[in-house]
Amino acid sequence: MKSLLRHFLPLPIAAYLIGFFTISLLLFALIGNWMLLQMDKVTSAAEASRQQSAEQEMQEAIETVLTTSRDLGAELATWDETYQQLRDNTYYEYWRNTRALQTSRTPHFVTDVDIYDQKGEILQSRSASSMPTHTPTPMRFLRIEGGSPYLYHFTPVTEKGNTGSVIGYLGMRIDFAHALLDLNRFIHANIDGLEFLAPNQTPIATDEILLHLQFAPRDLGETSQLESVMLTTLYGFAVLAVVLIITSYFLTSSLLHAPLRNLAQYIEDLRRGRGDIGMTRQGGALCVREFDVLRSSIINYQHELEEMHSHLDQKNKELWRLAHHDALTGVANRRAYDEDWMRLQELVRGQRISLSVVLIDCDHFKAINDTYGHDVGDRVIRVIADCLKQSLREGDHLYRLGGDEFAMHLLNTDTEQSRTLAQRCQERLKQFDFKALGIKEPIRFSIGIATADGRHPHELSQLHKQADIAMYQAKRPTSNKIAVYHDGMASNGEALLSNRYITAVYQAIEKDRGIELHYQPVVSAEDPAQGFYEILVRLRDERGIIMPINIFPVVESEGLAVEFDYAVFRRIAEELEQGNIPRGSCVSLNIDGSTLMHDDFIQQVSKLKHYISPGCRCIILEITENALISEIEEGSRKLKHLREAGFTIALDDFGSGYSSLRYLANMPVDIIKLDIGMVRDLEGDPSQRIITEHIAHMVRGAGYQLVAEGIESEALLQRVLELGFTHAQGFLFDRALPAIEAGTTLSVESYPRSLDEQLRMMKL
Amino acid sequence: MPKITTPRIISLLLTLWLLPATVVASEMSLQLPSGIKALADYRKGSMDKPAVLVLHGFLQTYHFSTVRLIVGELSDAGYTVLSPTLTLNIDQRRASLTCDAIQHHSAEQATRELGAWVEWLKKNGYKRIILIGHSTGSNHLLSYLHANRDPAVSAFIATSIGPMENWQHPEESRRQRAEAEAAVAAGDRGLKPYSLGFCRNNYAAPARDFLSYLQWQRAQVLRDLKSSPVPTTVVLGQADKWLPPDWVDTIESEAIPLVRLNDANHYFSGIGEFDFQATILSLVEAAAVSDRHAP
Repeated sequence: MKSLLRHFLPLPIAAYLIGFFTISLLLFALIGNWMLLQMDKVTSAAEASRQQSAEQEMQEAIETVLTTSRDLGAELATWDETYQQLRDNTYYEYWRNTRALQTSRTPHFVTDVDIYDQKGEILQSRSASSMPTHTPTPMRFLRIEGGSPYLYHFTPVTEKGNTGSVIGYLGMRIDFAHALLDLNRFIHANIDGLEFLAPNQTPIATDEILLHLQFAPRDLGETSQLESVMLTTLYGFAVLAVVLIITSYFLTSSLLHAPLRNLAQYIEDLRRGRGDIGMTRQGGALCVREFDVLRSSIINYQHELEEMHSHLDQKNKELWRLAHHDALTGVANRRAYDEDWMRLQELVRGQRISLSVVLIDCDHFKAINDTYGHDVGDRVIRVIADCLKQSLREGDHLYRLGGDEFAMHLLNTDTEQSRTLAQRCQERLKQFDFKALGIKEPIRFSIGIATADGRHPHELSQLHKQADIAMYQAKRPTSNKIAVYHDGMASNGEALLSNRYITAVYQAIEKDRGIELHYQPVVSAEDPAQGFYEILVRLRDERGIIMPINIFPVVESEGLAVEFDYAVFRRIAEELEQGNIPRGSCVSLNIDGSTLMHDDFIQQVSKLKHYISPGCRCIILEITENALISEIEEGSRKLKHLREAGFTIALDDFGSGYSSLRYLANMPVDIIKLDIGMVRDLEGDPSQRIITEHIAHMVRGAGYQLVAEGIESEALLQRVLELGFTHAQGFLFDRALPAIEAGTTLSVESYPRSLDEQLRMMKL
Repeated sequence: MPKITTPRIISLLLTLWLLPATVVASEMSLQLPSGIKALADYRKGSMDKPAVLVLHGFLQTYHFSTVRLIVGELSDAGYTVLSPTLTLNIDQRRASLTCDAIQHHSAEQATRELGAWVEWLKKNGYKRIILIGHSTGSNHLLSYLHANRDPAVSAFIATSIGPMENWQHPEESRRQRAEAEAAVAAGDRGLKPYSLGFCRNNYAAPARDFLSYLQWQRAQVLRDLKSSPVPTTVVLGQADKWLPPDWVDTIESEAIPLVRLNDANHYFSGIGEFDFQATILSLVEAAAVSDRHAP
């Protein structure tokens, strides 16, 4: 039952109102029916009561006649003149006719009177008289004579005095019907139809007179009046009930139902989000104060909600804008890029519409940031964004994906159009004078482009990755800085940023798994004992070896430089511990700038300290010039500490950065590794060659060991040796080796040239 | 509540014992020689005083108001008072008769009843009797006095006494008398309507009985009064309309002792009531005194 009720609940108020008024009508109908039944009962009871009253009245009337006849008989029986007749009836006829039947003596309904002697014999008999000649038994009875009832009443006449002896009788004949009417006033009995049901001359005992009387109760009208009053009351009650119900219905409908329905509709509209609706006060205030208060409260609440909604909408817009725009440049961010990308894919899917993705990246932006500070870096980013915006066509969208990486979606743009746009961007960026920002070094930008047709959904889905591959391709030194993706890039597997690399990096950091150390010899020009191996990191997974070109972009993009360096430290320690790095060998390892500045760096690197033994084994820490310059004081302090601990410090890629030579004097380094670009300058532009030569002289003059990287030819080797370089490193000698062969002499003179060089020499 | 003490009880008993001795009133009946009984109001008074017999008027009983005035006054004065109701030939008659009732009685029968009552008084120890009649009752007593010379009867007071004839319609009276005498002569015993006393042509009586009352003609009454065997005083109301207008003066002119009560009517009711009572009492007192000094 409850579940059935719950199925229907809640019901609208109209249902309750209709139910209420239906029940009210039923109740009124029941009451009316009950009243009609009661009326019938009352009418029946009144009828019975009327009949009873009539019978009682008739019985009383009979008693009155009998009593009157008894009294009259007693009066006549004690009348002096009756005694006179009993003594002397000489004038009996005169007495009966003139005295006894005199109207002043006896009522007119007494039709005859006679006196009987002590023996009951009539004093004087008469012909044509109904009076018996002898006293009858009983001495009082009713008899129908000629259709009319007559009461015969005989009263003993007793002797005066105290003896009480009967000396005679007095008889009366009374017209009973007349007596009945004369002596009584009938209210309840209808005497018009009075009939005596008895045969003629048959005596009827006085106590049975009523049984022989037939009469009807008089309709006094009180029953019909009562019925009329009750019917009038009932009709009035019904009319009043109907009026009350109708009035109540309209009142409740207008006062309760309509306001409640409006309120409910209003609230329902609010729930459905129709925030533009309003609830006006039609017709002024509501009649029910609580509803008016409720309506005012809801209206106020609505206004507050609208204000709140407006505020929230504004906030949402702001949040959306913040969520979809880069705070630094004001251009759309990565989230907007992703969302727009999804929409664009849907838009062009299956259409003959080409869609291009262009990725733009600032080369060595981190070095700029580190060198000139974040403020300058931010200004560079804003300049890039401005330049790119100015280069876009109307309808093109620019996104900053993070750091120095920007992207564009070019709708309905083929590869050539995209390339043209990329060149325009490149040109605009080149035209900007970054020196105005205090940046002396030239800034280069790499742009990757990928284009697909909407009819090839798979290519569309790979478009960003392809543009990414192209951009990394563009970063290559030999690239013209704008690369358009083609299938060969993917098949070569160059610089694919995929989950494979990321997984491998995390495996190496978190599980010390897959790190392989390769060793590239750095041969000494003076003392083979001064030669060492530069440790180069590779990662190995189930698919094979992962080269640094694919490792470090992940490390950099994921911000894992410190953790990755520490993992390499642990791997080196294992190699040392396992003896894979033979005693008497020196190894160098590259330290990222962020690792150098990390708080745990000293502690982590010190774990390698006990492998250092003077004259037997040494460990060289290679710090890039830029890494050291960005935090030169802190970096110098730590390096001094490590030098004191036995580590050898090498400054890597010297000349590739933006540091001044005057910093060099303050740097706690032992070895300078000249940037490969500067080394190659020795074979190029004379002015560049002269600068490199002077730098080499200065470094050597200052007492530092000087390493020439990128030595790939004997001529270049000779050149650097002439300039006083103490070490040489490059493919001329060897690529990175998977292991160190014990006893290898790391001298320029004795170290065998690489196979490639040997082949080249043979060709010459 | 008052404390019940022995003196108080004695006083109460004494009061209860003396009360019936002072006034004893009762209705009594007297068996008449005719076989019927007559009723009377008997109020026993002092035996030292003469008894007074008071008789009602025409067709009345001792309950009549004038009779009650006399009886009450004398009884209160300590006299034994007997006020009989004439039977009018009806056994133990208690109610007054209407004119059209069967008047089957005669003046002689009434005289005999009065004699029976005087004898009864005498038998009950009253040696001196004063008779007082009212209206026709005075005529009855006057007839009795002349018919019975009883020495116990010492005085007679006749109030409102007058002739029985129809003095207002003398011709009719003469005619009815003649008719009645003719009827008697013819032996007719039937009832006839006559005028008698205050009855006007509805006095239903046999002719003989009717004629018995016609003996009290004006002259006869005057003669009887003048020749009354006992001291007789006539008491008349000056405003009595039932008596002939010259009747009072005639009585007075005949030297019959008369007490004329101004403003009194035939029944001495109204303002004449007190004078009447005082007169009756004084007359009875006087009669009682003179009777005491009689030889």
